[in-house]
Order: sequence, then C-alpha cells, then structure tokens
Amino acid sequence: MSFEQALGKLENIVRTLEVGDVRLEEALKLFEEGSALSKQCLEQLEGIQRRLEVLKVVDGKVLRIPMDEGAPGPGAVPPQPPIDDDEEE
Amino acid sequence: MRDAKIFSFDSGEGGNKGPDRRSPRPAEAPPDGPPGPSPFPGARVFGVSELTRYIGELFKGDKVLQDVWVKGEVSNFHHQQSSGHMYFDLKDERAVLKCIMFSFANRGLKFKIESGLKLLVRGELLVYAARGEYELKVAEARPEGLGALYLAFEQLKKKLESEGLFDPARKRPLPKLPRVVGVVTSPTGAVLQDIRNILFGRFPNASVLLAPTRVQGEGAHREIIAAMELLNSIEHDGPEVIILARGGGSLEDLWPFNEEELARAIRASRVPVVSAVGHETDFTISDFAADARAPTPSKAAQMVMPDKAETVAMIQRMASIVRRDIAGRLDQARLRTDELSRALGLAVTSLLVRRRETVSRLAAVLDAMSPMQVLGRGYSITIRQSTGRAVRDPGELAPGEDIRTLLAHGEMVSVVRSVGSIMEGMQSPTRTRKGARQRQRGR
Repeated sequence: MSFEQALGKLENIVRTLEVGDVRLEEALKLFEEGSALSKQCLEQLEGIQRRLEVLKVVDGKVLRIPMDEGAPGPGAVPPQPPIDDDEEE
Repeated sequence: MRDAKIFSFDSGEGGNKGPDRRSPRPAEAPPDGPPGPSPFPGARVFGVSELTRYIGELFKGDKVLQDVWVKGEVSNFHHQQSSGHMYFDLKDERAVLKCIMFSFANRGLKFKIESGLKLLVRGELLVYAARGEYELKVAEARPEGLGALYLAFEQLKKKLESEGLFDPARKRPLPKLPRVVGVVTSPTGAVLQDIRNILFGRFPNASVLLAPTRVQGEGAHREIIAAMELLNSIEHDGPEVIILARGGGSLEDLWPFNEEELARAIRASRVPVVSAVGHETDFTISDFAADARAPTPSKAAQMVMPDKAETVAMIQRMASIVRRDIAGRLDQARLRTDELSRALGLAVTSLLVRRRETVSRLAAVLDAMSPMQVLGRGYSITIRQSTGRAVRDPGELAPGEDIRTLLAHGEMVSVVRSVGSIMEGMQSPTRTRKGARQRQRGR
C-alpha cells in the first residue's frame, strides 16, 4: 500500500471514530487497523534512503552518480568518474 | 534603430507639402541625364524594363530606402506554406505598402504575424519589375508597443489554452511522500543549492536525483526536455515528482521555459511536474502547463517534500486518537459492566435479606405454636404406637395397645389397661392413666 493510501485510510478511521457512531466490535477492528496503518506510515517515512545523485549518460547508458554532499557551494557536477550505480542490469 | 528613420504611415505630421514630404532627407540625386537615345530634343524614351531598372537603381542608390524602419498595421497576411515566405501589406488610413518576408528571415520570429497586428518592420525597398510594384523586403519585424517576446508569450499561451493543455482537470496531484525527487535545473548556481537545502532540511533522508541542464540560451529548452525525458525513462527507483527550476532573469533569460515543445513535454511526463521559474511575479508557459506552479524554486521544494517531523507528529497524533478512543470505549464498557454487576449484587442481596426476614418471622410463629411449649407447661401428648398419630379420643384405643407419651423432658411407652369416656376419667381427653408399666426412655 502506498503512503497516500495508508495515510488516507488512517484519516478515515480517525474520522469514523470521531463521529462516534460505531459499535464496540467495529471500534476494536478499526483500532487494530489504525494501529497497523500508523505503524506502516511511520515505517515508510524511515524507509527512504538519503541520496543525492546526478544523472549522466555515458555511452547511451544512464548512470546515477552520487554528488558530493559536503560541497557547500554549487559543486561541480560529477565528483568522481562514473561508477555504475544501483541501475544494474 | 535609433539612427534609422522610421517612416510612419500615420497621416498628419503637419500639412501636406507635396509628394516628397515623407522623405526628410531627399534621396541622393539621380545620376545625371537619363540614358538612351532621345526622339525629341532634350528628351529620352525608355523601355519599360529599362525605366523599371532605372527606378530600381535609384532605390538601391538611396541610403534611406536601403535600410528603413516602417510601422503600420498588417493586412492581407499570407504565409506561403510551400516556400515559407510571408506576404502582407502594411497600411495606415491613407497608404498601403506591400511587404515580403522571406522564409530565412521569418524563421527566427518568436511571435506570429497576423492581420490586424501593429508592426514595426525593418527592410529594404525593392522594385518588383514583373508587376511594376515596389515592395519592402522585410529583414526584421517586431510588434509595435508590446515586446516581441511578450507577444509571442501571449500568443502561445492563448493557443495552448484553447487546446486545453492548461486544463485544471489535467493536473495531477503531487505525491504525499515522494521516494525520489527529480530536479531539472542547472548543476551550478544557487537554485540547486536552495532546493537541496529545503528538501534535506524538511526530510533528512530524502532521495534527490538531479538531471542537469542548461536553463538559458538558444536551444536550452531542448536540453531541458531531454533532462525531463531522462528522468522519466528511469524504470526502477525513478523520481515520483519532478521539480523544473530556474532562478530569476529577464524575459529573454526565461525564454526556454516559454517554448511550446517544453510545454508539451511537461504534459507528456509520466510523473507530475512542478514548475518554479524565476521570481514570484514571473509567469512562464511551463508554469501553466505544469501540474503545479511554485512561485520560487525553494517553494517548489517545500511543496514537493513533506516536513518529516510534522508528518511523524501527525501520524502519531492520529494513532493516539485511535488508541484513546478504544481505551475510552473499553473503560466505558468496563464501567458499565461494573455498574451492572453491582446492581445485580444489590438486587440479590436485598432479596436474600427479605427472604431471611420472612424465614425468621415464620420461625417465630412456628415456635410460638410448637407443642413443646405446651408440654413445658405440664401437658403431654399421647401417640398411638401402631399409627404414630396423636390420640385425641380414648375411643381410638383398645386395651392392651401400646401408646407413647411425650412429656416436656422425655417420653415413655405404656400399655392401655382400660378405656373410658371423659365422664369417668379425667378432664382432658389426652390425659391417660399411668398405672401401667412404664419404661422411661431418654430425656
């Protein structure tokens, strides 16, 4: 499930519970679902890996080259010779 | 253009001073004495071509006519598709000037010439011998009043708008959490730096992918398009949103973002595009075509990337609402259960109390009515052994029968010797004679 979908569902559950017209068993089910969804959303936020890359085409191949993050100014484009990145075949 | 004279087709400008009044500096004097033989003294006869050529020579020899600016309103505009040449008239209230703009000259036009447009053109006056006309060969044209770029912008905007390219229904929502953010901008310069700072500031573990490109100058829009296409071509782990950004600049500087091809490429992008070109007050065609427009590159980064801390807090808030809700409901249920069981307990207890009271009352009644009380006062009860029933009338018994006599402190068994009526015996029918053998038993 995408972050959007999970977040949307969670918001719906909160809204449903806030309206209050829910039976206890239903509420228990929503509670379990809501807890799982919030956990999933938080995991997705952590699941992204910090990267700063620049695209470069070398011999018709698209490469993703890590950019020097330390460079304070507008750094020159590729700091290193092209290294094949995670776009492996 | 400063030093060139602008010929206005406007009427006025003082009185009518004759045919030459439009020329402030008279053209250079024609060469002395027309060529050719003369049938009349002092006169000379020309062939038509000859004369036309002569006029052409005059035009060529005139510095003003060789490079002149003229303004007027376009009419009868015609763009010859096969040759690419443009034909039109420039006119004012009183005069018409035929103009031709060859394809090599009009190819660089940023805007479209159309009838009704007020135009300022520069060119060279020619004689078109075959038709006996003179016309202006236009080298350069610009809209009068508005700048050419501005006009081009308005024209393109109108065109794409009418095609529905800017239709709000076509705009895609931005993802709430882009796992990879694509950035199309110059690899050098403050814009990339600003975007980086905001993206990582809001989301420390963001993933940013730059497609570097030139963002100004001739042909820059093609590079921008290529950069966007490159980002779109990544199949695995590609960007989920693209920021198209450039810092502020003149209309000319921003021009690549006003190119039609780029507008179409933006709409063709697989992922939503946020356009952030120039300052807040700058609007480009890209801005209109994009899924969202940001007033500045920094704002684009803000729009695209959620603030992680805020998002975490929001999710936790919702989780705690859900948790508190269920806890509240369980508490309520528990309280209600408690209340019910307490009520039930009370009901049972009070029922028991009432029952106990009834029992003890009945016991007291019973006690009061107990025969033992009577025995205590000296009375006795005679029971016929054979039936075990109390004897009320001596007639019930026969002599020789066993009877049991209950006394306050015990009982005894006797044999009946005789039976008599109440007249002969004692007062109480229950009182028996006790002359018989007696066996004392217990208490």
